[in-house]
Amino acid sequence: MSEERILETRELSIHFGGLKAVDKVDMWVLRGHVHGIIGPNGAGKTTLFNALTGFLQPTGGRIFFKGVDITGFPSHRAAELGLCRSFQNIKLFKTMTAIENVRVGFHYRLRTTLLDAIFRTRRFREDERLTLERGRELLETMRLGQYADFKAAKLPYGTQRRLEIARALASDPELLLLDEPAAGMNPAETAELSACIRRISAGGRTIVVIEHDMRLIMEICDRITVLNQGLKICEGDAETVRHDPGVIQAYLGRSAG
Amino acid sequence: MISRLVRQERTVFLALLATALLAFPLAFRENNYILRIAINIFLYAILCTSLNMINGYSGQFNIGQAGFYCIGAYTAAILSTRHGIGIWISLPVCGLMASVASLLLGIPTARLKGIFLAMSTLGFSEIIRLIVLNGGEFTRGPMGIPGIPPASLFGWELGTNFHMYYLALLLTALTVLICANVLDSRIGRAWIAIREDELAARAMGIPTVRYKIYNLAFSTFWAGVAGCYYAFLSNFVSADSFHLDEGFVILGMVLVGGLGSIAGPLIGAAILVIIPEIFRFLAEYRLILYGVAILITMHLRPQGICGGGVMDTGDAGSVRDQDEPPDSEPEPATGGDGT
Ligand SMILES: Nc1ncnc2c1ncn2[C@@H]1O[C@H](COP(=O)(O)OP(=O)(O)OP(=O)(O)O)[C@@H](O)[C@H]1O
Ligand SMILES: [Mg+2]
Repeated sequence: MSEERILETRELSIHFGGLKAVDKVDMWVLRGHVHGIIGPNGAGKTTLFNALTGFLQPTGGRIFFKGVDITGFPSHRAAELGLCRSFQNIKLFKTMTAIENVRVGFHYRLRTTLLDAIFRTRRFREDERLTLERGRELLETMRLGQYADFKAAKLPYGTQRRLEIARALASDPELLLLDEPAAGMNPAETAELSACIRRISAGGRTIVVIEHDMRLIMEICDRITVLNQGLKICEGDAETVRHDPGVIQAYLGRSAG
Repeated sequence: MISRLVRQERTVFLALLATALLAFPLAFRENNYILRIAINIFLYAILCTSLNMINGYSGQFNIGQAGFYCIGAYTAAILSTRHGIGIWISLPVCGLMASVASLLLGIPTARLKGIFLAMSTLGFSEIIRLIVLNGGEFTRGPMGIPGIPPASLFGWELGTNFHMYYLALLLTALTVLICANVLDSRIGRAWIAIREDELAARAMGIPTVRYKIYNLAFSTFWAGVAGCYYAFLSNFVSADSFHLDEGFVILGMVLVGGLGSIAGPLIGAAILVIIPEIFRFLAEYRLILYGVAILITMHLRPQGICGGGVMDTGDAGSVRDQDEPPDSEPEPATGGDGT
C-alpha cells in the first residue's frame, strides 16, 4: 500500500465562540486505508467532517487533499474534488425513491443542460441511462437492490444509512467520509455494513469513518485517530489505540463523570 | 411490467384528454362565455405550473407571482403598441423579461428561507406594480395601455375567443411539457433534492444557491409568457390586474390542486376558475370563495388534490420525526469495553 497522504490537516481549528470544537488537529489519512475517527460525544468528530467537506470554515489551520490546499472551499465543490460524505443525522431526499436518491449523487458528473432536457437530446438520454444503470449497480453494492423504487423515508433505519452511502458513492469519490454509519443498527445490520465497507475499500477507495461501535472500528480500520474535547489524543493502528493510556482515560473519565 | 401498463394507460388517457380539449371549442364555437372560462383556465394553468415549479419543486416560497405576470403583460403591451412586435416574438421576449427580473429578486434573496423569502417576493410584486403605476409616459400610469392589436398568425387575425382558445391550449401544453421534461432530468432532480434537504444536496455536488436562482428564472419565464398571452387576449393592460390578490389567487390554485405534481396546478386552476362562475351571485366575495376552498382542501387533504412530492410521505408523522437527528438516540457503545 502506498504511503501517500490523500488527506492531511495541519493545526486545524474550529471554534464556536469560546468553544474549541476542534483544536490544532494534525492528522492524515493514507490512500487506500479505512481510517477511523473515534472519541467521546462532543469530541469534535462531526465538526471535523464539516470542515473537511467545506460545510464549516476553519478558524485556523489548513486542509490538504491530494497535496492541494483546499481550505475554505465551498461545500458543493467537495464532490467534484473527490470527497463525498454521509451524515450522522440521516439526510436522504425523503420523498424520492432510493434509485432517485442515488441518481442525484451523479449530479456533477453529468452534462445535461436545460436545452438537452427540454429536447431530450442524446446527451440527456446517455446521462439518464448512465445514472439508472450505474445507480442500480451501486444499490446492489450496498445490498439495496430490492428497495430501488421505495421512497427513502419508508425504508427501515439501517437501510437508510446504507442508502446514504450508495448515494455518496455515486459521485465516485476518492475519499468517502462516513459519519456514524452503524448508528442505530442491530448487530446483523452492522455486520452487513461492515462487509459493504470492506467491499468499497477493496474497490480502491479511501474511507474515513466516524463510529462509536468499537468492534466495528477495530475490525475494519487500518489506522485510527482519537479525538477528545477537540484535541487529537492518539493516532495509530487498532492495537496502539486500544492500549493507549490517554484513550482509556478519555473514555473512562467520561463514563465516570 | 406494471410500470409499462401504467404508462400505456397514461398514454391512452392523455390522448383522450387531448382529443377532448381539441374538440371542445367546436361544440361551443359561438358561446363566448364558455370559451372565455376555458381560456381563463388555461391562462391560470400556465401561471400555476410556473409557480409550482418554484414552490412545489425547489421548495422556495414565492407569493408574488403577479409581479412576473405583470412584467410579461406590460412588455407585450409596449412592444406591440409602440414597436409593432407581434405575439410570436413577444412570447419568448416577455418570458425572458420576467426571468431577468427574477434575477433581480433571486440573486440577493437566494440565501433567504421560508417566510423571509416569501416576504421579499411579496414586496417585489408590489414594487413591480408600483413602478408600472408610476411609470409616467412609459407605462401610462393608472390609465393602462389600450389598443394592443389582436394576435395573428401568417397574417390571419386570431381575434376571436375560438382562436385564442387554441393558442392558450398550445401554450399550456408547451409549458407543461417543457416543465415536465426539465423536472425529469438532472436539473429537476437537483431542484427536488434542494427542496428535500439543501445540505445533502450541496454535499452531492449541487451548487444550491445557483440552482435556486436558476429555478426561479426558469419558472418565472412561464409567468412572463402568460402575461404576454393575457395582453393579446384582453388588448388592454393596467396595473389594476396585478394586485397582490392575483398572486394569492394563483398560489391558492396551486395549493388546492397540490404542490409538487404536474397535474395539481392544472386541476387547481380549473376548480378555482369554475367555482366563482357557479357562484356568480357571490362575485363580490370571490376571494372569500378562494379562501374557503383552500381551507376545505387543507382540512381534507393537506397535500392538495393531486399533491405529489412535497407532503406525500404516507404516514405524515414518521417522516417529520426524522428531521430531528436520530443521532443522539442510539446511545454510543463507546463504553470502555472495546478499548
Ligand atoms: N454549529 C455549532 N455551533 C456551536 N457549537 C457547535 C456547533 N456544532 C457543534 N458544536 C459543538 O462542538 C462540539 C463538538 O461537536 P461534534 O458534533 O463535532 O461532536 P461529535 O464528536 O461529533 O459528537 P457525537 O459523537 O455526539 O456525534 C460539541 O460541544 C458541540 O456542542
Ligand atoms: Mg458527531
